[in-house]
Amino acid sequence: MTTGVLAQQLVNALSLGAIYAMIAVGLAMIYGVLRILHIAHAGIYAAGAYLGLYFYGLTGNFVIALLCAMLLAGVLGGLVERFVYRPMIDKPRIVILIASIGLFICLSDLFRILAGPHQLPFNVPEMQTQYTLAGLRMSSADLFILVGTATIFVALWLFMQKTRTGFAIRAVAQDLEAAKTMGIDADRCAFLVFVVGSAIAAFGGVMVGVLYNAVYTTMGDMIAYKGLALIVIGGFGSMSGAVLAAFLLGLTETLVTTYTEIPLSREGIAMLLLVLLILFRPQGLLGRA
Amino acid sequence: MNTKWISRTVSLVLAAGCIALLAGAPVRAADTIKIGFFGPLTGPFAGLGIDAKKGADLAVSEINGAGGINGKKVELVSYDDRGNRAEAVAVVRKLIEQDKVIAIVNGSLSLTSIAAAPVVNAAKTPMVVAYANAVGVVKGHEWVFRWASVADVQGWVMGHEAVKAGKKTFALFMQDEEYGRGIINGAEKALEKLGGKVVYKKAVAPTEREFRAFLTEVKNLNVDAVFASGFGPVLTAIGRQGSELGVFPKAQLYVGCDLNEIDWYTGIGQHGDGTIGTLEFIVPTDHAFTKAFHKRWQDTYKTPVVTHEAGLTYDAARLMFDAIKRGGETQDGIRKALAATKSFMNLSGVNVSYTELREPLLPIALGRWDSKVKDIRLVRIVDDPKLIDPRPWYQYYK
Repeated sequence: MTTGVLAQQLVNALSLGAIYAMIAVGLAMIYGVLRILHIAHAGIYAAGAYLGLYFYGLTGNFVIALLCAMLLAGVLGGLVERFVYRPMIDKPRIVILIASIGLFICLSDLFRILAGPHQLPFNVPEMQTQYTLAGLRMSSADLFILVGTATIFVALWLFMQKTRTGFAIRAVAQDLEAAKTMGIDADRCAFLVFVVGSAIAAFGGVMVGVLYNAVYTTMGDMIAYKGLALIVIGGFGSMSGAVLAAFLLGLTETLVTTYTEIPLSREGIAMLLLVLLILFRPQGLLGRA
Repeated sequence: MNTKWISRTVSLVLAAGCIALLAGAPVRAADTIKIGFFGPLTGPFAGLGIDAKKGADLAVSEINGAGGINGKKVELVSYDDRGNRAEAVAVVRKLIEQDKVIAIVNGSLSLTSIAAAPVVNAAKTPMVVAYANAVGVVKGHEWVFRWASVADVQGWVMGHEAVKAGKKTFALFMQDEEYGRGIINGAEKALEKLGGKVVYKKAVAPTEREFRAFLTEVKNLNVDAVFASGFGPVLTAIGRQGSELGVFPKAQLYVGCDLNEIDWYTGIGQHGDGTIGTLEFIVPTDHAFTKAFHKRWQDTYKTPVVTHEAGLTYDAARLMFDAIKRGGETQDGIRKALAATKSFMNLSGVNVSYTELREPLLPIALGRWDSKVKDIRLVRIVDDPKLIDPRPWYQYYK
């Protein structure tokens, strides 16, 4: 393996990791506040891709399509919190998990009913320009993913660290009962977390659709498994842990599937990492022991 | 109140109602010929199954429009196997035991068909498999016939074609299930025989979409050709990402029959230009039969694209109807008629016969993608028996 090839592989891993980070951060936020495994997040991600495709077809403008998809996915996420999870929040966690899985399956079937069973192309010409710099190839979609991810994370950090609402969300994540006692509206915080997390997932869904020129009903399947792995690997409830886990997974997948004869799919690699982490560091990379 | 009177009256009314219903009910068993169909109508492979069903539905509507078989209408009983082995077994049991179909047209994948074949065989129900290419679907099941090619034949033809074109070094992408493995097995055997060198081989899941890391390696190896086996989405992802990374068209991409899938047509564009596929039929051709079919297809489904699954299932259904006409409406009669098929015209206007293994001696159409016409252009038909004979491939499978 030459240096040039390794560098290209790192570039490939970087954009993959950024996509995973989009999914993971929302899941980590949601887990942090509500302590639930929101498997249906993968359905919101796929919904974002379909919405992006729809609005791109309607407007011909990618940025408008992306923003519309993020907005509507955010609304969808909020509705899921309000009408699916909130009524059952006092039930055992397994009940909520089963509801989430059921919702995810329903969403996948809904996409098939509304948009058909075939893969739909998401062809955005301005995202297909190829750049070569010092022998490294990247598409404008890759660059948009990296810049978009960085922008979203900076905005999210500022929101969480510098605003009253962000402070309230962090308080709820740290100790729900204490936060309620302090007069913080925990339900409103949970709702906002779902809205923001879902909007970010939609960004991931749209960019994956554009990057692979494919929007399809089962595109959330891969995310459902990996999302779970990422929040465990990162440390339950740790947003920075989830982001770190995402880039680590992107890198591991790229190098392991390319350079080893380990006969595991990408999902298999994610699950193997999860098992190893649980064995040796059950709190995850940045979770507390 | 006299409750006995009331209950007698109610009983009489109910009995009268039942008699009326039964009298008015259509008599199903005697005046239709029930043929079963199953395929992935939902789930990750729904695109394939739905296209297959379109082919079957068109064939059924045509035969019924022409008066049916021996004056009886054909009734297609369809079930969804969701691309899942356990579901496939459950639905064929239902078709055989509950719906009592006399034969089955299989519009499903290799992985599900391999699971379902023993059940169909044990029930002595004749089945024509439309597009599942794995040897294991037919081998050992004397009631199961295939219409498509054996996967290994496609790889064998692919290998010969590539070496004939002067290619010396090869990278292989193998979709890791029965069909994908079959194509690559055939390709590897051809390259072994002809002196082609495989410098890279990667097995991928049918749901894989991310190939850039692998293609970066392939680019570094500077191969002459890449062989890829997989369903439409896998081939489209490899073709597109390979083109974006500069692997193609510098290296020639050869793919299996799933070049002819809607995902390729809608997703590849100019990234796929020059890609060569090994197809079981090609539409349209200059043959009058093909042209007439193509017109009917476009009138019915408002698209010129006849996918691999749709075309093969259409042919498989037609073959089944023909077997019923020749052999009668008994399962044994249908089976014997299928086995005796010496010449049946496929969609490309080519006559096909069956070998004693219940596999067709099916010429392979080499097609090349041309984004300017958004279609696959015929390169040529390969009909050399040494290349298309399915029989030698049985030795590689238990």
